[in-house]
Amino acid sequence: MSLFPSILVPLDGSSGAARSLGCATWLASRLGARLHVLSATPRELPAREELERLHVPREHWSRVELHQASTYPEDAILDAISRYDCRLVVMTSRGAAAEARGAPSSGIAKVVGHVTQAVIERCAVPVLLLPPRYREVLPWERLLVPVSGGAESDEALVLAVHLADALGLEVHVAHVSDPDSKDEEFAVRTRYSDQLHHEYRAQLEELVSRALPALATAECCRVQAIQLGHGDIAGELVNIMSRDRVSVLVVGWHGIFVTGRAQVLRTLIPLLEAPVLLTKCVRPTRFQLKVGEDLE
Amino acid sequence: MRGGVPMRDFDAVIFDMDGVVTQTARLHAAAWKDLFDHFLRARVADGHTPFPPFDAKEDYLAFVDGRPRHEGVRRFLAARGVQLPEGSPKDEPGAMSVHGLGAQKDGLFTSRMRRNGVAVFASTLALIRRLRERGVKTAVVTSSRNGREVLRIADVETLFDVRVDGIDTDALALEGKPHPAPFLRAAELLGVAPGRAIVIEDAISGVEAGRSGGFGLVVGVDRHGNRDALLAHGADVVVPDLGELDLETLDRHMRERREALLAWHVEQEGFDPAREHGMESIFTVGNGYLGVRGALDTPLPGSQADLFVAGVYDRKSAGRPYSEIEFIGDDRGDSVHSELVSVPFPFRVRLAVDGVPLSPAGTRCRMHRRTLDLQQGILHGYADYDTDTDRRVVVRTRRCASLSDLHLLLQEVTVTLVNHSSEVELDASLEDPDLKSNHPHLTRLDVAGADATLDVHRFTTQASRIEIVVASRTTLGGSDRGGVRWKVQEAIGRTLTFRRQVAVYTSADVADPLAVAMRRIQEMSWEDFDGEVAAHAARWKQVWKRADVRIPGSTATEQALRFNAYHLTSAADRDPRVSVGARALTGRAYEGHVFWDVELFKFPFYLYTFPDVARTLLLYRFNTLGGARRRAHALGFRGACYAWESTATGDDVTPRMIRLKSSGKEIPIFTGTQQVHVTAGVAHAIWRYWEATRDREFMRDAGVEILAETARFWASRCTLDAGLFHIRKVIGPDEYHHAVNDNAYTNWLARFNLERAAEAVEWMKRELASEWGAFAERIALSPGEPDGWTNTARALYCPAPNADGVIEQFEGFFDLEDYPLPREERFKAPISRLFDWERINRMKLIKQADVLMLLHLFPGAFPHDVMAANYHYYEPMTDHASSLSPGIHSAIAARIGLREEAERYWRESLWLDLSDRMGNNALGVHPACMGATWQALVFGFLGVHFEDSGPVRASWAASALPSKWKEVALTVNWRGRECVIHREREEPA
Repeated sequence: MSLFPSILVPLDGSSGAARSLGCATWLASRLGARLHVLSATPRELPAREELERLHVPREHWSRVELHQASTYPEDAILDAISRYDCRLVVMTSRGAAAEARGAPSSGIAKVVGHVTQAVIERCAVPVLLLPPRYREVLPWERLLVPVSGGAESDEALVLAVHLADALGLEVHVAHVSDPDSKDEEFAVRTRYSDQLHHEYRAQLEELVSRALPALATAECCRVQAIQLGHGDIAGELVNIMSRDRVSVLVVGWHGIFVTGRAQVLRTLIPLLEAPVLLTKCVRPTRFQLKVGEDLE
Repeated sequence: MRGGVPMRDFDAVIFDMDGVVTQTARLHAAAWKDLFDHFLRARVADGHTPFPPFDAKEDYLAFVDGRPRHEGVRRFLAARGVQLPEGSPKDEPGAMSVHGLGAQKDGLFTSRMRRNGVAVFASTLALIRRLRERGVKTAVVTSSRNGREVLRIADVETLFDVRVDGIDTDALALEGKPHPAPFLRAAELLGVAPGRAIVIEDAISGVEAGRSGGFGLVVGVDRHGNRDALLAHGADVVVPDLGELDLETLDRHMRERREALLAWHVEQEGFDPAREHGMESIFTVGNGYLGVRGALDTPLPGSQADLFVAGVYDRKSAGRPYSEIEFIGDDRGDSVHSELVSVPFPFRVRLAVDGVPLSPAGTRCRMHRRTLDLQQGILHGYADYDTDTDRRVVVRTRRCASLSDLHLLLQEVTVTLVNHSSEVELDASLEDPDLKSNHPHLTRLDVAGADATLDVHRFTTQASRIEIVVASRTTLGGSDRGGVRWKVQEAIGRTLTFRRQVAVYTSADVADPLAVAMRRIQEMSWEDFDGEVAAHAARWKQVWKRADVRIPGSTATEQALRFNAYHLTSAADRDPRVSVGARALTGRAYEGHVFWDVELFKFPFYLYTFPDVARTLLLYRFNTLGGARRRAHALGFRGACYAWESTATGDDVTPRMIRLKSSGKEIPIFTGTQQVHVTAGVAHAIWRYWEATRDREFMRDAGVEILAETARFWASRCTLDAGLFHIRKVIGPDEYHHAVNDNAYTNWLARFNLERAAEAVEWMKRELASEWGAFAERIALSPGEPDGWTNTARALYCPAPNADGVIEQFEGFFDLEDYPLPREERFKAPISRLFDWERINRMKLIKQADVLMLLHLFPGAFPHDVMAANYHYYEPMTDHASSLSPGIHSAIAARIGLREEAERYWRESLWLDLSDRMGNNALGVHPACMGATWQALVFGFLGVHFEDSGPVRASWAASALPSKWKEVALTVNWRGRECVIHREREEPA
């Protein structure tokens, strides 16, 4: 089964939003996925007219399934994710309305438009976000995953490895210690200062191997580079991406723009030219008492 | 392949290095020999007595193989009677200290290794490569600080995802093998649960470490002719070389081991607040004296986190949070012993990391698991947290109620900081923030002068005035100082271990419970904890020698039977002042009252497994004979009539009414005055005990007196009418019908009581002639009274089978209105049964086995066709609103050859608590149902009856076994002998 059997691309008629089509069609083609294009429009048009309005290049018309909805865009997108069982959403950080208002100087609006923000916060599936400075570079070559040892970053790493395996890519892993966190420094100082056989790399290997307990060795081999960074997290990640020619940044994150590592993302997204794959840690509330005849 | 999908039962294999992967043993042995021989020679030169030199085989295996080197130095020198100072890890090689010699050995080994190279086992490398090709993770663990260099010289570094050597264990201050810490560290780095990993070891200490670490499979490699020792210390499989293993054989061994483990563990994964109270019941730990519900170590605000102490009751009062799910019984008369007292939870801890509290109920818990190890009677907890700031914390706990010291509770909490260093806070105070509401019977008493390093709580019950002391001592690993609240800054990867020992005493046990509890706790050290756990586990091992039931190939059935035996064992004290309540010490339902189910349902399990417990339960009836006499007198009769519900004194504490929570409607309860068959049930149990033990001392001191006093009651309770005695206005086992006449079950049991009493006094008169006179005088037994019992028994009307072979449940039952019983009302009777009691009293609807219970108790008295006729008549009208019913139906169905029905009822009974089939396990488990299940197996499926020579299986039993069973084996005790009952399945001809 494909990693993403169905991909959703919400469009609003703006040329900016249409930039996501190139990446989405490439992904759909490589993964054998069905591509759904959603247009939130007050007036339904014939498919051909609507595809033209959405700036969908003619060569892609035969590959997409067009859906038109007349509700609020974010509701339409969330409904389409569920209705068409989409496992990935590809969208730009800001759409037509944001373009019309011009670029704000501060706040979340500088990073993402309100529709994109709502989708990121409310949907459970990964979102491939094209930043304001997005430059399309296809095919992808490598993914970068920042890891912290937390559940979200573990899941992001698992997703990245799966995706890399499906697309034949490399995965690079980075752990950037925040100079403001005495915790990381403490960790480094206490564990690795005087031991011959241990290096920083070993710590990262541990983080990576712990995150990938269920993956086959062949998949884990997609992880080609593991590195440790220091300093400003957003700046350091931009440096690594530039240096390693990273195609996509894969970030595990709870999706809320005001808590935890949101500040890093708010700083990072405007600086990036590569897309960011945002993935959430979805933990089903599973309960099982291991008794009864099912054991046999 | 299962279901077409290839599945593996393990994710990782962890190899010991020396002796498994690399052949460094000779290098090590030679280095040790160089070291010790030189050292011993030098001592001789200094004038000490000569010692035998180091034996590179014997001494190597005995003292140093697989152990950290300083431990090896210490052990070998101790064996030669030499003591050196410990020194420190910084000691130079050759310094006269344990660490100095260790460092010297390290140098000798390293130079030999560099000079000679390192040989490897080719078969091991081949296995590792095959495993890795198939996606299995691999790790290597060694106590050697040279581990990485050995691997590098051997050129096998790249074959392992994770390497843990002596440098790692020293850095993390992990204990060496046989402690499981190095292997657990490897599993943690691999990201696999120990249960999904295999340990391969050649050293005794290594297999011990694998076993105690809870690894899915421990493979021993026998390179030194120590196969038996490896097996004895925990290896599941022993092979001479790893060439014998491949992925498939490891998978098969793992699966077999897993199934065996499953049958010994009950495990819950995930968290569901709606089921939490039920889990608290199921995971209760107890020893008969103490019962602690399986609440989380940090109980939720709504938890019923109770500690119960057997025999500690207090007065019931309206409005207290004790009740059934659907009704409350707030009237218990004036008894000060009417309700089992809940004491504050003795395992309470509050944990926080960097100020963030941890709770499995929170959203930041990745994984929560509770595992009851039935074999050792230990409850394990596991929780894996992520805080909002990505701090990952793993908390492991274990707890038990010691079976070797009934006043002792043990708890261990370990906290591992996986990806961060943080401040860990642990608050071990047992202070319940809401004592008044959660434990309304208790008033706090002063503990002035208590040791400040302990957490001591002293209460008194308000009406019964029993003083209860709970003294807790918590210690952090590495310090021997007790404490209550801890704040520790700890580094990434490190594990903090807290241990708590709790002593519980009451004024019913000792004159000064405060002093005794404090003394008990103060005398214990951190190290004693392991010994106490080991002693506890050893007692459980003894339990299982008697109580285990083997049904090879039926994992779930074995698991459920063991779960039942675990709770029945945990419920039974050896204190003759107490008995086993309806929910034992696992929950609040029935307020801890003692019912007829002790003698009729639980008793056979104890009698044929632990006769000493059976004796104690009967002595409880002897000790409460005064209450039974008072009750008979109050009802207007002679002798002794046991209370339908009793507690400490034997006085009746049955409610006279209950009130529905939903409507406030009051329902009258007649059982207290009418359900008198419990009295004959006690007599029945005494006689079965006498038959099974021939315990003359018990009969002399207690048994005959109970039989005589209960016979007196029946003789006065019967009324003569037209030449026959009748027993009128009673309730039988079926509680849907009250004030009935001549209930078949009651009358049969009463006749049995009268006959056995006459027989017993005759026996005493004959066998204990010298004591007879005093006995007769003490109970004022007139010479003709026993004959009167016999005559009453002969003339007591006991309904016989009618033309269709059916015994009428009571006078007029056949004439009642039919009640079409819908399928959905079976096993879970609607609440309308309670408030519709007057209408139901007129219907052919019965709650539980009544006539069938009679057939079950006296199978030899009824021919097969009568048994079948009654089953077919009564079974369709029974709604099984009592947990006691399915087991008895299973037993009868098995006896009359209805195998499928027998299996259906067996499953209902067997999994009643684990599957919460009645929807009420939140208020405690159902030990009587567990006893009924055991009886269905022994007396139903196996058709066992007892003759003087011992147990006899029915000839038809082999074909009555449930369809999936191949064989069954268990042990019963008969007159001091352990008799194995084994039956293999045979298909009917």
